Amino acid sequence: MKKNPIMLFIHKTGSPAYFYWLSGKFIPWLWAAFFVLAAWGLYQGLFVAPTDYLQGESYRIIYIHVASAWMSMMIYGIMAAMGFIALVWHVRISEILMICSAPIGAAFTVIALATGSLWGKPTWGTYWVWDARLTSELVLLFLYLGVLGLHAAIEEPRKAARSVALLAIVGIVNLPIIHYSVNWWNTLHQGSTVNLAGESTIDISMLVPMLVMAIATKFFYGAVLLSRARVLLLTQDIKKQWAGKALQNPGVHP
Amino acid sequence: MGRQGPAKSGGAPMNPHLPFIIGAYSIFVVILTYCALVPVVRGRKIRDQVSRYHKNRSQHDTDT
Repeated sequence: MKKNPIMLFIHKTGSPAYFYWLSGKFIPWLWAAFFVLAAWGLYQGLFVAPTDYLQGESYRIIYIHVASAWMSMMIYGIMAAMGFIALVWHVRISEILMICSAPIGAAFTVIALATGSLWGKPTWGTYWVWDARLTSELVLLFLYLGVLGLHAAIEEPRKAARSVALLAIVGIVNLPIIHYSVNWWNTLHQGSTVNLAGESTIDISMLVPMLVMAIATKFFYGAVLLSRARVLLLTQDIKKQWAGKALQNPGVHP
Repeated sequence: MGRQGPAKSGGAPMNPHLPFIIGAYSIFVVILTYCALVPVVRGRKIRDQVSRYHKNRSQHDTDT
């Protein structure tokens, strides 16, 4: 019987040796894509895009704030999806990717909160306000910290991954709350400016660098996630034969 | 970034939002750099440990 190539790829990627080899091939390309896109996006955003008629120059924080806020939510979604796969099919690579996503997601959440706060001061006159968008984003940070704390508290890695998966899946309820908070409640935070289905309320000259930065941060996430996953795999499999072989012949297909 | 506001005598006009923009971008760069460097440093350590372990094991195997 002929095997489905997609299923074959998924099964092969489930092997730690194959994952270690394949991720090593991807990482330099992910870094290259990140640096090229981030350089172009930041140059366009900081030096080419026009000054906002209402907010002046402070709006330029948008190029890192929005990208980070989107990443904080996207990474949590991926973490929950990986957790689901890990719980249902017991795929070890999913467990590794799930737990390696958490610190990156937490970092993007901290950036989103901090840059938002620095944008809020000149725009709203305050660094912080307990409005629905800011508070739900802060709850997301606590969820990430909870995931990291829970993982650190359980010694056996696979048991820890299962507990973390459960917490990640339960916490996903916060994502629609963050996204729709500006519609459901009366918030100081502005409503959505980028609308994928309809017309966006931001000029194209400002929108393009913002979208480029959003794509650049995804490549950053990919590169750091795979790097962390390789380290965690080696840490857990230090005594396994594949680990020794992978380091002896790093470029050789396992 | 464009400069705005009236010039003070003897100095270039300063954008009042500049400290906030610099602060935000600094946080972004510092946190992302830290995130990128952690797996590099840990990876170097763990690769050394793995190599040492497998070297010792192969030596032990040949001795016995």
